[in-house]
Amino acid sequence: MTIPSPTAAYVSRRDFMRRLAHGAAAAAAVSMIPGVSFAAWESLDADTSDIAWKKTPCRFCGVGCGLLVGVAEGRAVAVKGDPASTVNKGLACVKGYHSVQALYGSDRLQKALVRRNGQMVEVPIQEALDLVAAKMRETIDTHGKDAVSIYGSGQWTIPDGYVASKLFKGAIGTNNVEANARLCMASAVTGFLTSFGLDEPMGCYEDIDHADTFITWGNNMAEMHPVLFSRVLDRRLKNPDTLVIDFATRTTRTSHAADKSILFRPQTDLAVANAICHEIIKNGWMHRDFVEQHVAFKTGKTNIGYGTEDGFAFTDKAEASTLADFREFLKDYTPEKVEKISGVAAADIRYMAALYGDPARKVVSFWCMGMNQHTRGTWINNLVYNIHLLTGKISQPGNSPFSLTGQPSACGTVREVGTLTHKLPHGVVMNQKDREMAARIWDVPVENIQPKPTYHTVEMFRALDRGDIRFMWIQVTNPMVTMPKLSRYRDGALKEGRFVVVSDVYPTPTTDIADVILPSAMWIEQEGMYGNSERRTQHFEQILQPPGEAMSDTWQLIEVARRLGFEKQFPWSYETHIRDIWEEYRLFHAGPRHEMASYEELRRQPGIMWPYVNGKSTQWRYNTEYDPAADASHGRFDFYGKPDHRAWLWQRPYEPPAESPDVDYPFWLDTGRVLEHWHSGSMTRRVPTLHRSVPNAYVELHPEDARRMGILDGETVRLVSRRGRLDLPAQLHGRGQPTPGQVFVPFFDESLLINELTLDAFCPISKQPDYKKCAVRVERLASAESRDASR
Amino acid sequence: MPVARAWKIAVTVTAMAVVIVGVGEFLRAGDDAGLRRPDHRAPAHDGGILAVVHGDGAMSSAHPQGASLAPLMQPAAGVQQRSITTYYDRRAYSGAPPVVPHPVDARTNRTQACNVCHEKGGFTPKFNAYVPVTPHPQYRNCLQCHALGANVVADFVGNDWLSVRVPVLHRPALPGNPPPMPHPLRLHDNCLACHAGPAAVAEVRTSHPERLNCQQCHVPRTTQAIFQRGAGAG
Repeated sequence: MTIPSPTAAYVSRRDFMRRLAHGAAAAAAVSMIPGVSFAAWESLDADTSDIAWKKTPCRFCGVGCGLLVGVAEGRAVAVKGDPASTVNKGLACVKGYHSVQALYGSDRLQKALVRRNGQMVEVPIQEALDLVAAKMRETIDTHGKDAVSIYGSGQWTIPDGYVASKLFKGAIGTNNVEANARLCMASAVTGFLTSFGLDEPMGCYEDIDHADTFITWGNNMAEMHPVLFSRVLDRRLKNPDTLVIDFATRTTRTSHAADKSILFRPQTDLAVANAICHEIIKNGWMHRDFVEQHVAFKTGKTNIGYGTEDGFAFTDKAEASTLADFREFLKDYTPEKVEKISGVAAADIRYMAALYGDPARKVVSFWCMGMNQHTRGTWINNLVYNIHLLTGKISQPGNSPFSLTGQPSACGTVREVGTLTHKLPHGVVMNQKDREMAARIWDVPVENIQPKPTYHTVEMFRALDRGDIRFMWIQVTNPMVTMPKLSRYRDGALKEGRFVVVSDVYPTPTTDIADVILPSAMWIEQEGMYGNSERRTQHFEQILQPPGEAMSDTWQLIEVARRLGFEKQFPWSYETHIRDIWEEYRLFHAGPRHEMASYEELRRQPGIMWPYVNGKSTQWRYNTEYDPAADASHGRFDFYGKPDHRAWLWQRPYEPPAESPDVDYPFWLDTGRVLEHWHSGSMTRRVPTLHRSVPNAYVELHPEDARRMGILDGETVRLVSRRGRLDLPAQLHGRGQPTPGQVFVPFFDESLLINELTLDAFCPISKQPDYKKCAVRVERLASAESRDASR
Repeated sequence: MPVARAWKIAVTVTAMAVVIVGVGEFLRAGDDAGLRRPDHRAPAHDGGILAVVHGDGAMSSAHPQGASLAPLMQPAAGVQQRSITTYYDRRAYSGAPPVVPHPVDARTNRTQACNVCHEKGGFTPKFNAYVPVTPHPQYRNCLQCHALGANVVADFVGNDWLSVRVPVLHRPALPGNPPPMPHPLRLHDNCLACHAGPAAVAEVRTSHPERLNCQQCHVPRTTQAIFQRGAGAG
């Protein structure tokens, strides 16, 4: 296929309609079924047999379903699940089936916009890129290198993230590189690093087809990872002994589909996980050989804080410990004691422990935001690994602790390329050898790469507010919807002397605060790669033309890098730049622990799982039977991420959340997603089918609370936290039901911004904020207004 | 717990039986199109279509040649029917999963017990309609693909979506030949679920539901290309 140039003419819808009219094809479209006309869509001249099907991973969540996009007359016209993809085996979800409609929202950004005298003015994109480069140069000259920053996302393609890191860390020389995956995956990363020394799951989706026990930890999989959940239900259909246990704080579709729903009080998953370990050891269910051979016991710091203050710093310290020590520690976590903290019946705790402990059962634990967006996110990740390590149920088909992801390339781009302040494509900035490797591959002086991390995401936006950062370039994400305690960060970004560049495909609350808006190519309007939750890298070719002057984020960054004088580091031609970037990036991961497939292999296959050695994907890491990097001299398993070749089992206590309900703010506020909308809704709300299904945000209340307060279904109520307030409709009989004393609000709605109320407390180890727990009060609007009036 | 669950099941089963008998009675009462009372005791065929049983208890499908089931599977007069227009109005393109066109109550929204009605089909007085039968009852996370479509709301912003023309129906290669299937079979391999029975879209309802081996005569049309020697697989 010929690769179109980035400025090739875009054929607008109007042109198509004109062509249709000329060819009298519109009339033909309805005459195919005599006497019938239909209104669901306007038709092209082509019919179903003219469709060419092209493979791509889905644009949305981290499952990474393989899709076939149907193309006719230069437009995407249909979608099917790719039967050749082992991820989804031909199935998709409603977002995937309608994903291509997200390309055609009528307010797609097609021209660059620049703020002049307070007004956004259209300019040619080359002129906007000149301004971006000039402003960066000026900021660096005036305020230093650490005054410029880039904030990307887990929706960056791998080449996007790679050139961003190379430009900022390598060429400019600042570690001001962060991505929104800090808000969704950071605790999973630190969980993996502290327990295993290497990021990303040991298992893969095929574990589902081997397991007979599934435990979801605070994870509404039926809505958030529906294709994988359907695979779980399919497994249960084929193997009737299969059990699905939903362990959660709220009753959802997942709870109803499960064999058992167990509810716990927010934050107390920490205590329950320890109680499960207590029971496993007490009942002799521990896999003694596995533990003796492959596990090391550790303790870390306790009472570690919540990071709500500017400049908060924390460094954990691992101390050697023993099994005897661990037993002693667990004495505080008997099922009876934990029942009091968690509200989970001791019998239910014993039941879960018995499932994990039964040597005949193969157990997969699934989790996502419930465990990661947690002020003790790293700890709860460690604790679930502890259960799998004690029972030896890890790194084998069907025995798998599995951390799911929410974005299409949170793993591929943010975690593997390392677009976080402390990371490099291989290793961390603090390590001299890793810096030397990066300098060699990037062709920059090693002194360019700074040995100290700068700001994690929350601290980066605080620095923008304080003025330590003056220039921020935001790509493929919408922080003015998704940052916790939003008003502080919005006000900060709007301050005098701040310059914000936003690359996106639609107007959003984030483009509202921008000084320059760059129109981006979206998904299959460019070539790229995504990496999903199971270490699978998937390539997609450019299938469509981007509209107007829209340009890929990769190419925007290259254009600016060249304007800053880094032609030598960014020499690629447009025709081959994705291949060249991939082959350069691949050098960082050479070796059996992380070998990546070649560009040609990626194009050929529907996804490849690293490490990819001798033409083979690795399904189960650390297991000598499957993993080419595992050394059999350590036994059947080799946890080679740690210097002692053991997995680390951490003592992590229960500690309370940063903010809990009290007399003034008596409700827990939990936030999250719904099936139809993805992330901040900027794409899915422009898809009519998805918007009609869930047109706006709402607050789910337990009917008992509503009855007590006299709140009716659909009535507008006011939520108030210490940080903000929001009026929105009450939903008493929706798809989910919070426990009494808890409310739930989805965050996709830019006109009902729940993050005005959330707290910016974070896990001190991962720096990931907790969007699942803060305290609010619920007011009936009538009484709230009369009280305001009386003040 | 098991006792409570057993009770729940017993109550549900009883309620379902009452509903089924009730629907049967209703149909018999309004039986001017030759519909006979469905016998809920008879085992349902996969997809439920062939659950229609004659009064004497014999399955129609076992009848000798010549006795078509089709007249038995027509909708009764006055009952709301789907046409090809309503069929496409519920889809974003040909092959897209349709939206749920009716209100979904809280219980169904949570439990996704859609198969209670959509596995076997039948008449629903609530909507004065025949329930479309799902061709894939083995998938239970129904709302994963089928969005709620009963809300009447303005679009968030407009969308310039276009798709291709829908397949032409009944276009055999030669006059009188069996027409090929215009759609892929994935998730739609139970032909009778959509093409037979009173809930079927009138324009695609088969005239011969008793002939069960559909793919004996109707083959999927997967390409427009004609065979060429040495053209290769691509």
